[in-house]
Amino acid sequence: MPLLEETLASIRAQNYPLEIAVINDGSSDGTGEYLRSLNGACSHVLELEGRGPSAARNAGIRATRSEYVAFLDADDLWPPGTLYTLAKALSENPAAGIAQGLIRNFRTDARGAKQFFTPPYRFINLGACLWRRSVFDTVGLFDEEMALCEDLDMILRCWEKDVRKAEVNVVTLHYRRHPGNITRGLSGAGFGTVKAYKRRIERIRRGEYDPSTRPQTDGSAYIGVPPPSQD
Amino acid sequence: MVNQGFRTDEPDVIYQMFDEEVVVVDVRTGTYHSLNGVAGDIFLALGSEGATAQQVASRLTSKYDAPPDTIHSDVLAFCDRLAAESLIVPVEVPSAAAPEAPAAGEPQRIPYLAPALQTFSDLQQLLLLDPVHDVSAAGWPNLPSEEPVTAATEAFLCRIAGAHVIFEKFEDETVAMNVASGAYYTLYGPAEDVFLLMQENPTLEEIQKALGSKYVFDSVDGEALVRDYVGNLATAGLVQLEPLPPDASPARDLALQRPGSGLPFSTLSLQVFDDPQKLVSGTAGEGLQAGKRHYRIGTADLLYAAAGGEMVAVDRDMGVYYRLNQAAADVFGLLRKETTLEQLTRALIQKYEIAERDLTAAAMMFIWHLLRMKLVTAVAAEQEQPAPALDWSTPDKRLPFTRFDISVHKDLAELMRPMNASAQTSPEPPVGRSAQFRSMLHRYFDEAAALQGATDSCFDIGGTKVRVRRAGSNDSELETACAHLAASPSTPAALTIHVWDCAVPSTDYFLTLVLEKLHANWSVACGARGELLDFHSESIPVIYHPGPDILSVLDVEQGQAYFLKRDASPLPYWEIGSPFRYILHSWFGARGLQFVHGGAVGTPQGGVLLAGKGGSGKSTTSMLCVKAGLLYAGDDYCLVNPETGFLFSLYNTGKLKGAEDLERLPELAGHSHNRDGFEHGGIGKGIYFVSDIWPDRVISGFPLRALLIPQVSGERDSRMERCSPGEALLALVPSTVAQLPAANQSDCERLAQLAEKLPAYVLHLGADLEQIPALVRGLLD
Repeated sequence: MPLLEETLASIRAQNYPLEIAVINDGSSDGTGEYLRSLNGACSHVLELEGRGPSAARNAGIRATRSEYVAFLDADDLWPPGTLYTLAKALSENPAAGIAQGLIRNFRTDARGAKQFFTPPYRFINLGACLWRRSVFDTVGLFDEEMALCEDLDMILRCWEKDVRKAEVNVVTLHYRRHPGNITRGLSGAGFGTVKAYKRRIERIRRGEYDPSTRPQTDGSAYIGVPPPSQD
Repeated sequence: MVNQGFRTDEPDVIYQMFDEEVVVVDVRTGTYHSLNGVAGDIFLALGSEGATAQQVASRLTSKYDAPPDTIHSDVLAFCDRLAAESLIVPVEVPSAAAPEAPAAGEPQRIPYLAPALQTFSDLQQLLLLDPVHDVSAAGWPNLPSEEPVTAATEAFLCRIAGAHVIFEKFEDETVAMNVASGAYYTLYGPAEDVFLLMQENPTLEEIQKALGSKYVFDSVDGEALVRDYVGNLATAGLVQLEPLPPDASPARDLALQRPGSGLPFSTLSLQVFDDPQKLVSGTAGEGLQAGKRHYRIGTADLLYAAAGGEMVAVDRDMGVYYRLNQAAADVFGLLRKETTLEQLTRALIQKYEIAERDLTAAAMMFIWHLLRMKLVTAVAAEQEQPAPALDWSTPDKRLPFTRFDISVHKDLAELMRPMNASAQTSPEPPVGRSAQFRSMLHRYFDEAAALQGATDSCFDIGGTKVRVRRAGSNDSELETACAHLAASPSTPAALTIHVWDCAVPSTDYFLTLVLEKLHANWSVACGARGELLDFHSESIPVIYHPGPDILSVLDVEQGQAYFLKRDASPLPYWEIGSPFRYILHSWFGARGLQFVHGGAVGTPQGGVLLAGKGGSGKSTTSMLCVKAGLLYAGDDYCLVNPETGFLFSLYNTGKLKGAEDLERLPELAGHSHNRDGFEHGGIGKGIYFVSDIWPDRVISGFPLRALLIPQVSGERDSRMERCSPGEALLALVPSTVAQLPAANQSDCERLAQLAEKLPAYVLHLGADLEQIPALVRGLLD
């Protein structure tokens, strides 16, 4: 479990009071045994049976009580001080529901050394954000029917509901890219983007909000811009 | 036979089928559409391969309960609609055999509803939701507008015209390039302000508003000037104009990238750069074919080292160093010889997976950048030179291309800059003159020794015996730095260093006179790095150090060196702490051992090299580790064998900056050796000899296990983080070669070998310094 181990280490290195929930979504690579061997180092270890990232995130939200919630995928890393920086931004901006920092993509070379290959950028990635728990009361939980792009769907819903963002200009996520990333190699349709649009059409049809009057913030500013350099 | 048909415009159009509808997203514009059952069937029947309206209609006829004529005319009309939305594009499709006619009145046919398309344009500002696409900084191209918009149109929206426009904002101006035409432009003042605003897709009104925040338009018709200028940008293909949607939001307040206020508004002009280097011809059309110019690295004194796919280049004359990624390093490699842009591109395209046009554009911009930095010069060449040899083997599979990246570092400028900026260059002195000078020095030393007496001490340094012969003065503080390496004087030495000064004139006054003249006229007599022009040669370096007034001379072949001081004034602390640096560097360099700027601590089984520029925490880290029981091999300079990774200690010196360091290391208080140090009321660092304080904790060498790069982090905890060989190069090369006048390309190659070999870590020094020795020890275990 070298990647998960590194990820958990980056969480512990935050030196921030934490309630950690690890959700093992039906992996067959020994993650379960590894998590049991941690002997209670995490507050919650939940086993799901391959229900997808939305269900896993929701399980984590339900299992925990903390006022702030953050998500970190098994192979990504939080640079030191991430949670402190984001929590400070939320506490200083009571109107904000989400604090968000910048992302840098990295891969590891043959020697295991980190190589960053994008400048810091701001875009959809749940790992770079800290959420006020109340946001999920406002916009609902993650859509468990969305296998991918549940993050885009969530961000669009937050935007539509004018959930404010507190943005910090600090890198808060090291986003690992490797041949195993599930967002690679799929065509546009398979990628889930269209489904997020479909959900939006449904919300407009249901009259949940009127795109001509809301939201109040500029969409591209809210969502950010993907990194210029692709992997 | 082929027929006119349509196909879905993938990959710019993405879609997915749901139970009751098909959702289609045009990722170029952010517009998305819902297609009802029949409409969705038409879209899916066209598919990415394409089909004719006839083929689509007959498919539908078999499914839906409606007259074939109705279906056919609906399909034709709906295809027009889809094409108008740019969701499908015309294509020629082979005519297939006519599909079987449906049996009349088949029961499974379902009710027919005319095809319908519902369009949503509320997400047009999110033009980027498909990360599968390469998104250029310039944004997606957008739909062509129905009516041509010109700068004379009442209201319009501007945006960068597409991926063929590349630009970079420099300190003083922005350079924009139209890759399609090859023309490029320099933009500054209000012209630059407006151009940079284009990234925000501004309206005419917003541009004027933003300019108004910075400039005063006295009697100038600002609007007319802006219209003219935007029109020029559009004609140049840099910007495109679009109609302003009727429901556009009110004008935003856009911030200028170079803010200001109250400036007089001059004029707005777009200038095709009048290119003295003729990077490209500048004539539209000729564009990329042009440029039979040759480029080459234009700096004489450029040292470079490469490891782990990265390169560090040091330009000591300019006092700067550069870090280059793989692609940029490849360009550097090629530009060591005169190379055309075309040859450069041809060489790189064999290695990298990138479209040739994109590579040419990126290479043009990079060379332009290098020209501006004066790293590269352009030469007009009458005839084509042979293409440069590749110093890489063409890989089986091309590598992904990451854009050329070069960063400039000036933090070591003070250390690196030539001490003699006005130095003359002069040819090497005639053969034999250096040797004559050397033997003259030898004679004078012998004379001084005969007159004042001489003492000998022997050291085992880097696996060889080094003898220090001192004439006159009893003050042996120079030898204390190497005291831990003392050896028996009986064995013959490979190198003898003669140390004396001219305070007591010898029988004839000649040498004293030479040193007096040198002291007064060194800036004329010496080259950029202190080499004494009349006598210095590659094989016998003769280096003068004007501050402490020391002449260092080495004859590698004879194994004789001379360290001659003009007077008897005390040596500055750095000479006491690390004596004979220039001599030892050249001597051991000739034997394949590298003089390294760095500290080292460890155990007999293995240790770490601590690298980084002065002030990064090397001394503190080394001293704390020794205090905690690790063995000491140096805090500033060491010798390393890059082949075996074995480190040899040179000096057992430790340096402390001030009284606060003594609080952490109270054991050292009162032990500083130098009169100019803070413990004696001076302003210099305090020099301590570890063998004085912890005699059992100095070691003559050990095999290296890792390279550590200390960095003060400001965090509470200290921690270690693995880093790339490129980081190791950056820590090792510039600060080592900056301090050694005779450093050359071989030093870089040995340092690169070391960076490639040793695993490197950044050691983040937190507030809790006590953790550091444990971290180092953890690494060694």
